[in-house]
Amino acid sequence: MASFEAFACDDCHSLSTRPQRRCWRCGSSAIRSVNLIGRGTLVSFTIIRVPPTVFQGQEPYHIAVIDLDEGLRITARLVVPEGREAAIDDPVIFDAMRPYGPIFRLV
Amino acid sequence: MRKVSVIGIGCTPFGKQNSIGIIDLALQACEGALSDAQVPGRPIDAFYLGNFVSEALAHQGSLAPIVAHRLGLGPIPCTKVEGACASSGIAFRHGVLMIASGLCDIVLVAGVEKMTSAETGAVTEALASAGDADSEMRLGLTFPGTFGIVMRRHMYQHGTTREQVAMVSVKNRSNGAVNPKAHFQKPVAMAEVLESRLICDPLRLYDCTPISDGAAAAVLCAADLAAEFTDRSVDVIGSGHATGPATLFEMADLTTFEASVVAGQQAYRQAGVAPGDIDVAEVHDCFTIAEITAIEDLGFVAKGKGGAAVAEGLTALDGTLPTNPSGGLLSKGHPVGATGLAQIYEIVAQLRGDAVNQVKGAEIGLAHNLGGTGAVSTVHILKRR
Repeated sequence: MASFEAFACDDCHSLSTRPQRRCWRCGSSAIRSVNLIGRGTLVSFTIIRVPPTVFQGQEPYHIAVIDLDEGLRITARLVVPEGREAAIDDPVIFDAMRPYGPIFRLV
Repeated sequence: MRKVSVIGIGCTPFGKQNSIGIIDLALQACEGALSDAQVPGRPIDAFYLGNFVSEALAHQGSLAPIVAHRLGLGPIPCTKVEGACASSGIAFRHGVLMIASGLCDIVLVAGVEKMTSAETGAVTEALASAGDADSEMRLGLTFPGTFGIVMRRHMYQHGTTREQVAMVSVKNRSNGAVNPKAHFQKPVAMAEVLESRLICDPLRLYDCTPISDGAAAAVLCAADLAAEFTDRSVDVIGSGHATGPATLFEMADLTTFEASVVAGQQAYRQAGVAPGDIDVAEVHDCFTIAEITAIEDLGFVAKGKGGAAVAEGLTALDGTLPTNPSGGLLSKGHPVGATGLAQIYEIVAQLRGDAVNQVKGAEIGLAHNLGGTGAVSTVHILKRR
């Protein structure tokens, strides 16, 4: 199963998607790398139809804010299979890591 | 701390201005403010100029010393201030601090942006640089996309309807229709907003500000000296400036911009007033939903009640809290670095009693400027003498 790297605080157990020098919540410097499976639900999303120059040609694409069951909120690309529509609270799962960031898909 | 007054204001028309470059736009607003303040010949002690994307879109990085030199201000300290779309709200704040501290007596503050000469993709990309490049923006998220995500969540979490959000555009475009400085001087109907082109679902074209050129400026003065220059000065009674997370995923609540909440609280506390004391407000409506989150974050209505407040007419010209009587960013346009001072321009005009959509008897006004994904906000409260 696919998994992706995140950063956990050993003191307050907060998670972050990027290597923090100190924990964003408690200020601790006891940060270590962890691997997440990345099951979660949609908090909100949009469909980008007017992209920045570098992404022109890829539109329309979904970008979503996702609450992971593992206790982390992240922003990611979302793959919505043809014929389906995304809705808030829909279950999603991590799919792949791309140079531009994580991709999730509707379960 | 010394008290601070605004003794002069200037603002160019906002819109597409092909024939004038970024330096000349800034000069026009500054000359307007200096002549309004009746300070020719009087030395200006410092100059702060708000700007966000001049390097990317106008190929001019250094701005403040060039503008100051052309104005003949002499060898005074000149600083360009960057805070994304809150750049000139912060420039204004710096001017206030310099006078409040006693270091300066008179300070010129301005904001300028030149955007229409660049391609839309380039403008979208330059504006996206206000977000966090390492996380959200590298995914291809844009600012309309950011506010599309906020809007969908607000509708879900608070039951805000699509029509309530569209009402912001209808109201502000109607207000702006009589503002000769506005980019759009034409009202829009609800159906036009709801049927306009999708940009970033559920956000549509008429939910967004246009790409505009423009500049605005103000002359600030120690309050005890203001009467030497003008009998139309307006006092700055509260100044707030706060920071919040620069990404959506770090926001505790996708419908609240923490920086606005904190900056508002600072400004109210300093001014000794409550949200209910504000007679007129110019808030940062870069997108329709942003006006709804702003009136909630500033305490005018409870969180989640912003949509209903707009629909019930609370924020209309004849409502209990007239919001964006100038037409707001939705109508005036949003030359990002100039926006904060254009809001101050409107509030000062309201408190002097000579605004285009004058709110009768307005004594206390508020200007709210937001930058990035809620990364930074300034709130200023001004009072008629």
